[in-house]
Amino acid sequence: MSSEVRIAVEELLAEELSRGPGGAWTEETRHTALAGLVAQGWTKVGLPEELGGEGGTLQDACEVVAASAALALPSPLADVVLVTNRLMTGAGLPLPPGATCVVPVDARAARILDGAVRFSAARVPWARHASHLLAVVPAAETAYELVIVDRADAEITPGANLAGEARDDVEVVDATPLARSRPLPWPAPSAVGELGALARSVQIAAALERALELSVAYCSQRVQFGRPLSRLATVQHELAALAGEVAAARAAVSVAAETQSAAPSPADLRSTATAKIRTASAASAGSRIAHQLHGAIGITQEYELSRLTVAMWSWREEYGSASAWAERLAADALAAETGVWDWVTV
Amino acid sequence: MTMSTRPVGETLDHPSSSKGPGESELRADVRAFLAHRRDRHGFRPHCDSWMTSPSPEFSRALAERGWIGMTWPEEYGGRGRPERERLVVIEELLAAGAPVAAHWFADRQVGPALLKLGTPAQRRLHLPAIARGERFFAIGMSEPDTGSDLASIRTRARRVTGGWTLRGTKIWTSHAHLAHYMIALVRTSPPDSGRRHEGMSQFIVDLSAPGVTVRPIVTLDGAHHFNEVVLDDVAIPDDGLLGREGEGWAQVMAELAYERSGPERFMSTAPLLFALARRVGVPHPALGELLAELRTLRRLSREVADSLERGEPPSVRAALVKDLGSRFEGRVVSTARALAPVEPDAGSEDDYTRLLAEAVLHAPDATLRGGTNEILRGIVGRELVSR
Ligand SMILES: Cc1cc2nc3c(=O)[nH]c(=O)nc-3n(C[C@H](O)[C@H](O)[C@H](O)COP(=O)(O)OP(=O)(O)OC[C@H]3O[C@@H](n4cnc5c(N)ncnc54)[C@H](O)[C@@H]3O)c2cc1C
Repeated sequence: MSSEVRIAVEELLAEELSRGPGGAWTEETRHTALAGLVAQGWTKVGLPEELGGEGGTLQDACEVVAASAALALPSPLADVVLVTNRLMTGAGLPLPPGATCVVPVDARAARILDGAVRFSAARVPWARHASHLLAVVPAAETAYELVIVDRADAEITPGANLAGEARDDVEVVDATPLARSRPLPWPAPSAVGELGALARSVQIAAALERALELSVAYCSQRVQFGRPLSRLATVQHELAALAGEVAAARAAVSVAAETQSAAPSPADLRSTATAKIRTASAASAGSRIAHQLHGAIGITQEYELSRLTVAMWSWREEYGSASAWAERLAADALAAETGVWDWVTV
Repeated sequence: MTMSTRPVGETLDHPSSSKGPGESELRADVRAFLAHRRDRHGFRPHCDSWMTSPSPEFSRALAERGWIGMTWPEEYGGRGRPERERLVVIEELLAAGAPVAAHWFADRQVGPALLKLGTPAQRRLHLPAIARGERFFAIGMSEPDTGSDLASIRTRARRVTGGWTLRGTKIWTSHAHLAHYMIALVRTSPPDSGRRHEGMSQFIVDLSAPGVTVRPIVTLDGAHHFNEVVLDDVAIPDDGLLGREGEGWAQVMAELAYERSGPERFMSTAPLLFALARRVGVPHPALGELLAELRTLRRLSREVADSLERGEPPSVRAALVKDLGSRFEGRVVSTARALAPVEPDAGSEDDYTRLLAEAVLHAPDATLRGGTNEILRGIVGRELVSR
């Protein structure tokens, strides 16, 4: 089903995009695109039907996110489909009535007392556009519960990432949750960051692949010294290096998605960290090459490339920088009693 | 995340690759074998061991376990195992830095070439002997005036009654001084400027035949692993031709997919990486980044093994993996120097210090051998823009 998912989402988005000027998203086309995705149920992919979702595998969810990232649609889709829906699936928490866009909150100082929840968080993706907020709250010493509150109960201070995607500070003080899961050993509060890291990795891999396509197409059309740039060996070499970054990013994401499909609850640290580290470095190396190959046109707002690269420059730091993940990965490897190579092959 | 619908995506597309049955047991078997060998016969891990550490005795012990030619049919001495299992075995050997160089080329590319192109008699003559770890091969492509531009070779085969005579010089021929045979790419008709890739053929050359002279070339570390091989009217019988006359170029290109795609293209410095991890002991991000890259490259290399299994030569993908992998090997060295600086010493008792010395001295090799990274990028780049 996965490639059909991708085609369907891409078609929907491409049609919306074509309504705007010059192939760029406008406030209006972005909204209608998102409304279209919601109406067709794409935001509920990966959440089982009995929980109010549309069903579908993790692979399907990845394809939906990849399609939106490749078309540079600024939207909460990745956070909803790959974080919220997976947390709710793990906890068996059904979608409350009327919830159209539940965004995950990597909450600090969360607690629930006498049925009232409070938490705060910085740079929450898309908080002001959400219908509801989802947070992980400690329930007892080793148990957690998922709670969903109405966005209207939150105090929101707007912020944004480099690509203008909403990253808002959030403060919830003694709100009554609209839904609560049973106390569970998982998801722990770190789960938001772990699932989020995979979400951003999927987005980067897809955006970078699109940047490669744009670079190939541009170099084949652009004529200098009387021939297309793509005939120059050095240009071909740079394209090949970019293709290498794309292949590596995809491979790292594939491993993480497969590992996590096999074991839906605790996000696998090794494969998640690998995906985030490798896609972050691919985003850096790949966007450098894509911009170099495009010359000045690449840095204009009008041209598609910059929408992809600017988003990647934020995504690579979100839900944990490559360096933070690399430290965790190294610690995990060094803690393995049977040695690093055994740890690599398990 | 396996699907993409767009053309460029297809160049890079790959199926999902999860672990096959029995792989963990096989891995444990190989590790037990290696531990036993270390205790009993005492080998120390080496960087680049597949290129620079030959041990015919070790090769025979490996063959006894069925780990040479393991994917080949049983009638030719193989074990009929899947590519994935071979990958497990060779990964373990490389991780341990085991002395596998003697049989490496025969197992990696000569066997598959003989299976694909050889006559039944040629297969019977060579494959079982290779699989027993008793017959080693060298690869004769490069010449004094021919490096990246392989089509410019000058070594010639002249037709005579009952066979051919070969004349010319091959160079950089790894382990020709240990090998029994060499697969040589030569011209069987003069170069035609319009059709440079035509008129070449491959021959199986007996390195003990009259007219063959193997001269050592010493590398910058003082070691002897490659050679100059002079062919002075060497007589080759009719059945010394491998594959078809005039098809040498296409045959060699298919062979290079095997030559370029394996884990030795990113694990040459793995023994140093593991020694580095033991030495630093603290979770430095730079170490985590290397481990993430190693995990990613393993995935890419499994995808290549899967393509080989399906009979699809993964030339472009193999080139891509080798480019990424050989650069990673270099990064292991620079990260080691940054995180755990010592004065490298090839004679040191300390494994880390010695492995660092080996890796430093072999640093230029990885991006040259098997086709330079510039040539590999050319292959990938041309494929991208020709779509
Ligand atoms: C350790 C080792 C083992 C080897 N073992 C064998 C063996 O067993 N059998 C065998 O046949 N050969 C062997 N080789 C030879 C190897 O295949 C060649 O070194 C390689 O193909 C490059 O050729 P060259 O050294 O002549 O360099 P050249 O081709 O002269 O290249 C010199 C430089 O120019 C660059 N260059 C050349 N053409 C281009 C181009 N079109 N675009 C951009 N840059 C270009 C190259 O990338 C390189 O940087 C071995 C080499 C090494 C290092």
